[in-house]
Amino acid sequence: VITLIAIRHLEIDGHRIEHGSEIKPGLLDEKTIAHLIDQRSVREYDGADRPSLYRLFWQFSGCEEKEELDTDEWGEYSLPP
Amino acid sequence: MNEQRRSTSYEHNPVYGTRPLIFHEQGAAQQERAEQEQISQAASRELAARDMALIRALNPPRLPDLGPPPLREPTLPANFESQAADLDREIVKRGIAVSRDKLMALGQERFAELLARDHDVRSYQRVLFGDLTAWPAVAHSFATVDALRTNLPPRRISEQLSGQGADREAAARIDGWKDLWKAAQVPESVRRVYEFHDCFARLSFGQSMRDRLSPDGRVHSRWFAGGSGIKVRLFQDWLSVLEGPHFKVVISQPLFSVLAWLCDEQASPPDLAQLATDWTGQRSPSDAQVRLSEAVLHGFLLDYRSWALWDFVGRRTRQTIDVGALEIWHKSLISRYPAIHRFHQDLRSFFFKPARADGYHEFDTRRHSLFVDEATQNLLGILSLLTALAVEDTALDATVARFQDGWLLAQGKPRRTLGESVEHKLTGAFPGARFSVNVEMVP
Repeated sequence: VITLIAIRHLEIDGHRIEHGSEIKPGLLDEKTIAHLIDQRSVREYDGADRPSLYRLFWQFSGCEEKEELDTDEWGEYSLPP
Repeated sequence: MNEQRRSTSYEHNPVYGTRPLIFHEQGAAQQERAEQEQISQAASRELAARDMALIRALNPPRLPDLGPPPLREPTLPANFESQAADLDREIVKRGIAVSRDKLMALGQERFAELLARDHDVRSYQRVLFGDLTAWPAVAHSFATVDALRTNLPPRRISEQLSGQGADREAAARIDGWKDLWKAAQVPESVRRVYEFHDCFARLSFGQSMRDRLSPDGRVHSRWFAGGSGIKVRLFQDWLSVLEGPHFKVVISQPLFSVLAWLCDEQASPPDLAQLATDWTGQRSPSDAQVRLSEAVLHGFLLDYRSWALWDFVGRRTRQTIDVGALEIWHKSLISRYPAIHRFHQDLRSFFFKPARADGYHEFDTRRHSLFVDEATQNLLGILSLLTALAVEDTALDATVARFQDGWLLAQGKPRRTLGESVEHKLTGAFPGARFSVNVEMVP
């Protein structure tokens, strides 16, 4: 699972993305992503190194992809078992 | 040449007490041997007895472990436990009515806030972060810039040799989110990380509530409808998504009330704002200063002292307080509430354990702390149950959640006399105690 982070200020399809912010999964197609990576406007992170907030809170972010917190982190966030 | 063999015999010399070499009588030799044997046996017995005495002296008999003393117990009805179990089952069955639309709207608003907090943390680049959701990754980021340490002086060798400073060393440890406030090198980064963390925890709670929302529009979960600590504070942040009218029954300063009853303390409960004024010198103390005075009071009530109190108050308020100032505030509470202090002094004497062979005993901090925590939580649990039973007596099927932090949530509208009924029920079980009960509608 990859998390995309903008490393420049971007404006894509009316979405303003600030430097250092996460790009919502599914917002860009593969070709645009490849182009932005080549331009050094976007950087890919492994999901384990930087989990996607959009995927973690898919119910509220409107993201279609899901990601769960590790079970050992539930206690830290007072989540029910 | 004289070829005749000459033999010479000598008697034993009595001056030196040596054994006779030649016995003129046959029986005398046997008697002598028997006597020698008796002497060596006696010497051996004496040596063994001396060794046993030494071993006994090195291993003194252990003092009998009397265990913690019995504490005063509330007067409860005979079938209290079954009533409590029935009520808890009923609360879960009833469920908490939640509006799906309100929950989604608030969740979306808070998700946008989370993205903003994420941006805030990363834009302040004293510390560069990767994953902000997991403690090991955040700790690694702070450690990379040598910021995962406190300003407390390290334990000197002279202190280690004399056994001092162990509590300060324990207080200086940074073991998780709850201790990050101690990293005093980069306070702005710490503040921003905490803002993100709180926002993340709040949103996780909301999403978890959304996951457990049943088709009937209610959350049927024991986990959501009870307990204590941080999850109760998180629950309060989502009260605005409840469906229909709800009210809260709040007991003011429940920890003080039960401990004052337990210790037979006659002094009245403190005004937290006044405490904050006394301690900080501010005539109109801020919310943070009132929270600080509450944390110090709770630390006193739970018998935290010195660096343990510093750690306790710091975790509650996320700020570093001068330990000298804490000592002064602690002493002012001792003079104000002598019965509570006396109770803790007496209780402490039951928690010393043998530490050395010479009979030296040391205080078992962990066991004492667990006992105090368990005893107070038990009383707060009873308080919560009695409050819920009193609410059920006046408004049937009303309680939907009850927490040990001194409040419960009920659906519908309360009767005007509810506060008095709850107070009556509580003082019946805790005779002589003073409780202040407030009933308020959830906005």
